[in-house]
Amino acid sequence: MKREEYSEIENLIERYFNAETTLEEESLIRKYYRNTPVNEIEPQLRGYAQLFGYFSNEIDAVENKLSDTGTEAQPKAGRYREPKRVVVKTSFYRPLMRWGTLAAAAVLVVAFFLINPREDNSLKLMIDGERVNNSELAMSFAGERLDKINEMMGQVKKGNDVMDRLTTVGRAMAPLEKIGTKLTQNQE
Amino acid sequence: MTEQEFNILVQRLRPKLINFAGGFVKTGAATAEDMVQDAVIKLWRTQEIQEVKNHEALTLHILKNVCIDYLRLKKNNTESLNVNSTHKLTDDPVVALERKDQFAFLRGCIDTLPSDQMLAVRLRDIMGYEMEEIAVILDTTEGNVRTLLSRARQKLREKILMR
Repeated sequence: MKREEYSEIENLIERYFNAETTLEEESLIRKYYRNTPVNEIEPQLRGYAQLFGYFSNEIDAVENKLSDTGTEAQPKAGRYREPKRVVVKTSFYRPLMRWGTLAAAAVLVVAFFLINPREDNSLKLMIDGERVNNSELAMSFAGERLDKINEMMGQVKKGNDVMDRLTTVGRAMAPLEKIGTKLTQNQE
Repeated sequence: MTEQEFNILVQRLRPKLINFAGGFVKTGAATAEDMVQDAVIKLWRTQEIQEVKNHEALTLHILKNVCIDYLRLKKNNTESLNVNSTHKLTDDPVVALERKDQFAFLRGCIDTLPSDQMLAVRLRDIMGYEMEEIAVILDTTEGNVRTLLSRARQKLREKILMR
């Protein structure tokens, strides 16, 4: 057991005997005794194990009776029933199980990363189906491609300008069309 | 509160109360049950005069009555030493026996405490009540409950360590 944990619990127990602990702290002490195997309890604190064990047991008995009536719809009035006996698992394996599951999870995670090495270079350059690792070459290649794209964009812009001019001409011609129709009406 | 509501509430609380009363009446469950029944009847009568608002207060009232009944009982009775504590079932009979023995010893220790100290320990360590609630049940101050409790616990400690 860790040193600070020990002094903490010893401090709690001292305060318990002076009736200075809160209900939470008292349940903490009971939990400590319930979850620690007897041979791991510090010798100075071992003597109190039976006291807190007794209290835990009595509390369980009270709670079992309460939950008994909670589940039964109609408890018979005035009938005293034997408290339900519950097999309580031995406490030794409880901490072991907790840490065991944690360790297993950690092993799984580590194994996963060992089997699948990470591929972090998600940006790859392929020239003629071959992978290129030379960064300078890659930069120049990329620059070239970008220039080409720029050039193409310039062409597109030129085409766009032509279209614009055509539309202005079209707009200017619109009144002439109206005059045309007026003239044909007059002829009829 | 109607009679029906009262009955439902008491029905729910009864096992807890009987367990509590059974904790210090050693002559068996029947006596504990009688004590609780008496307390409930008394409560029903006072309840007709003053309204009971929440059931936590009701529990405290009944518990208080149970305690008073107990103190009266103790004055008149010499008790037999029949230990009927509940104990865990373990696979190993030696361990089970040892545990039963330990629990009987502790129960004996608690029972030999002065009655108000014993009540304080039972209400706190087994029933899990706050100091102020125990003060209400035992009709005393919170400071006094603390004193009772620490004396009781110190005595238990001495007995355990001397064993």
